[in-house]
Amino acid sequence: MSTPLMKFENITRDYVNGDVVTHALGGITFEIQKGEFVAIMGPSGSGKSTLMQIMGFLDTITEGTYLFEGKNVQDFSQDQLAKFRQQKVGFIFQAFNLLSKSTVYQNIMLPLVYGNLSKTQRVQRTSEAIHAVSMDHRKNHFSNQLSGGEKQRVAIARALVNEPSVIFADEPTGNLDTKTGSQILDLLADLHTQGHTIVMVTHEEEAAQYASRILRVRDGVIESDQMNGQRRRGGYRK
Amino acid sequence: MRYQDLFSTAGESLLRTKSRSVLTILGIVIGIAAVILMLSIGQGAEKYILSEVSDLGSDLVFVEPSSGDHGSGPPDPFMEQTVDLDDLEAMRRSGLFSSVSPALFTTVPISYEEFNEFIQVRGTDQFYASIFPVEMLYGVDLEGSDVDSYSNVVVLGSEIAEEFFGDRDPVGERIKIKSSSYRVIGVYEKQGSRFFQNLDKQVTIPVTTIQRDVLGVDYVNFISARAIGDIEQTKEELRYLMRDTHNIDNPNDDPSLDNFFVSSQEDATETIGVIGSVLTILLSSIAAISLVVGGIGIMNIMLVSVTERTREIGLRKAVGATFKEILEQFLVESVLLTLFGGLIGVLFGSILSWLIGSLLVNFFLPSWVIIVPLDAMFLAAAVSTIIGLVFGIYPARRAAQLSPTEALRYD
Repeated sequence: MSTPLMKFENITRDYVNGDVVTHALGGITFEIQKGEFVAIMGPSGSGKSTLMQIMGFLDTITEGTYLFEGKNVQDFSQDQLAKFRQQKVGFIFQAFNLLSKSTVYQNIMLPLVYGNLSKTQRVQRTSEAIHAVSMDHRKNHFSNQLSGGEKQRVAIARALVNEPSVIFADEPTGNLDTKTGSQILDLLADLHTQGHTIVMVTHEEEAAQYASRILRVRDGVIESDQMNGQRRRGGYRK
Repeated sequence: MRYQDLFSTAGESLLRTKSRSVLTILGIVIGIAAVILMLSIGQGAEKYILSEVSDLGSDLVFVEPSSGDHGSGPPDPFMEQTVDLDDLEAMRRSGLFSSVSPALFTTVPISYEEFNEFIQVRGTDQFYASIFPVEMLYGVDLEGSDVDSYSNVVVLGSEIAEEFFGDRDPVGERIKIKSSSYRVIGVYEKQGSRFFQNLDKQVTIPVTTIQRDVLGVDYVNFISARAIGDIEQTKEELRYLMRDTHNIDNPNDDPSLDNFFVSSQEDATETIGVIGSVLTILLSSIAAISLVVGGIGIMNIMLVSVTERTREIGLRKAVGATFKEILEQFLVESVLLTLFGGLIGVLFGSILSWLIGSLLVNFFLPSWVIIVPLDAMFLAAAVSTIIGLVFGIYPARRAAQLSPTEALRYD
């Protein structure tokens, strides 16, 4: 069997605030293979967002081992983690997190600014990403002129632009209506079909059904880890 | 991150909040404009005074009263007046000088027909013109006989003559100085100003007349003389001569024992140089304080900006920005702000310097030199960049140290 894309062995995450210690994750072990579409499900406070932040090198673990493409993430400095984020991952947030007074084009190009591609390559990658989410007609609009669905498309293009090994989506439909949410989930499913690895955090059962595997988290531990043979396409309802 | 990206990212951020950026740099604009203006006026004044002094010639020597405890400086109105016409005579007899002339000033009401105003009167003698050359527009200058006989004669400055008599020749007319009548014997050609005094608005009468009839005193304000030989040696000999005349026993050449002070044009030049430097330092310090205040303003706004843009910082970190890249972005923003402010300040300062200089040249001091200091411009640009760096580093570090997860959660 090939090296898993991500491998977690007994990882914990404690937050210390004065004398109070909160155990956000309490010993989690699992693997994610390249090309999977994993939904991490769980109620508020279950630790699913913390888990995603650790997976995306935004947060660090307290104990355990996290191997990404076979490399131990704990060995990396903050700057190396930043470079890893630039090269290996793309993020999609519930609140979109676009720069409101920048154009669609500028927003999508943002991750490339921190890389070392040539100008021609950047332009090409950005154009491809805009095209992938069908936003060509809006590329010179400011992001605050877009609808919620369009914003999330731009965010998805931004997550794709650096050709990452994995895309993390944190409640991507949380701020969208049912119809738009469905379109976004279809888009993620399409990206998965094209070979992208996707990890989606959600508390919505309907949204999780788009994934090929569903990981349920409760109180900082994995409650269940199931393959999802009946993957949904369309018909998402909140 | 490439430098081009760094600068365009920072520039775009500043342009997104245009009015705030403009208000933020106002402190720096005013500070730098003030520095340029102060340096321009300071250097202009120094140059102006130096040129006035050097026009007088390097062989010029002054003797003025002194309380002994200070060197040259502004005259002290309460100082004992110790220089008189006996000193003048002694100087003439000494053979050290080609010409010697006294000066005694007062300002009194002068009237002619319906005109009546306070005008400065200079009491001197017939040798005044040989020390400070002046041409006659009408009539004649003071003569020895006028001085010897306490005559009530007056020579007018050109502006006074024009004011009282228009274009006509006033020789032979009579004007009143205080309550006595004086006969106009001449009018000087236009002379301009010397030491900020408008010579064309003065009238000149015999020194003996001003002493006895106008002021009722027997001293003079100072004596001017043209040295024949080496200036330093002449000053030395003049001090001995004065001590002799004033019966001062001062074998060790201690200036604090003298009740007079001998100075030359060169001494004045040196003093003016020192005053100029002190003034420049003083004015620049005030301007520097305003720059520091401006810098604190920048720091304040940058801190607000960091707080406001917490989510943006979180996003940038999430998509791969390192500590250094965030630090650089915010530092470049503050440096761009201050540098831009500095450049606008230089522009404003230069325009103001030029305007004020032109005003002085056209209305007050025709021989004023307009200086827009080039070195100050480079200094201003450098200083504003440094302000941006110094006051930008704290907010920039705050931004760079933000944790991406907390920054992304920030509302």
